Amino acid sequence: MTTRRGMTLVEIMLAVLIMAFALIPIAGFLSGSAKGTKSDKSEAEAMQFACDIMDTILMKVDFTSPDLANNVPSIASSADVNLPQTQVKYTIEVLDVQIPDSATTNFAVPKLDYHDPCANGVEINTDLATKISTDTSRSLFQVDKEKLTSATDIDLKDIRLKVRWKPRGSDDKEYDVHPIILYTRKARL
Amino acid sequence: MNAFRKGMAIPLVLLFAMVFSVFMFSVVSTRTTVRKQSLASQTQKKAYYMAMGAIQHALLKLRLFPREAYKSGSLARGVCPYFNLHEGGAAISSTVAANNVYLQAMSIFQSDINSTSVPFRFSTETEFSGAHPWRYEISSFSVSTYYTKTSGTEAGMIREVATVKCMGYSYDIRDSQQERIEYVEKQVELKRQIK
Repeated sequence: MTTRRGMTLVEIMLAVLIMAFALIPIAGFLSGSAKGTKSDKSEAEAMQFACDIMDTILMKVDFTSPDLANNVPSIASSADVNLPQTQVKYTIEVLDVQIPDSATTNFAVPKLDYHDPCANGVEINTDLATKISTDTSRSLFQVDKEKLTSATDIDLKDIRLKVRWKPRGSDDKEYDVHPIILYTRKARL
Repeated sequence: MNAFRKGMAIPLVLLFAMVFSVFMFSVVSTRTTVRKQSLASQTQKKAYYMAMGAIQHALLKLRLFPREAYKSGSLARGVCPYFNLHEGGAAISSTVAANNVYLQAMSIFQSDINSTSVPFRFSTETEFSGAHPWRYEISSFSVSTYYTKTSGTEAGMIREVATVKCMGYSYDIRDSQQERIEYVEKQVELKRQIK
């Protein structure tokens, strides 16, 4: 029994010191992991928010408005929004699609020469290949007199949604770390 | 007894280190997996909206050129587009699959329903350049037609049913996949009155 010794104060302090050094990277790791998880949740929330905006633009907003984004009361072309776990700043850009080369001929349309209908409608025309060609002379103004308003208007708009986000309470610099960008198109239908 | 107690230090430290390693590994592993799934889901969403853009493009073309769409769709099914449906039900050619000529008109019709032929106005952005540019294309466009009634308010009415299938592509450098592809299918019905 007499050979048993207790630990001295120095030994305990040394042990605590070693433990403290060991815990520093562990604590850093756990903290980083928790921050990352929080960031992931915020990104998912921001993504869902972005999808909601895109769905609204595609499904509910009238094409005729010059500014698509301002045509629904719940959506502005840019705004700051507070979500449960995330703060977002979004901007919507809408541009008219322009035909690359020519304002009149750029849609590829088949031209089909008339031929007699065959019995019971079955297409058995042996020289069909000679009757199908690409129509390169069609003017879009002829096609869509009522709705086309300019030489470059093909009733299609490009939409770009940029959602900058950060977890609530974090530094403003995080807004620009991983912004969410979505693109789509909307046609006058 | 003393010797035993002295020997406990190393096993205890090793046990502690092992338990902690397992804990940290599981945390890292779980977070990595969740992160991958989250990124994949987000990139997939980006591809989905590209594909939705393709659907809009295709539907616009259908609105601008309904007759050409109908003719192309008829030929693709082996039915003569000039056949008067009032005269009877149209049969379908059994040789369509073996003859590419039937698909030629539809091939022309859908040849420019992609984001290369009609580029995005934002095409200078980084998403539209590089090895994996965001884009969309049509994978199939079919138009089938059926005649509804011979009398009543819908007499002589033709209903055209168009089915459009499009693919959107997106890419995120943080995602493990080279690019994500999303398929979207849309079916629309057009009514046409024969006079």
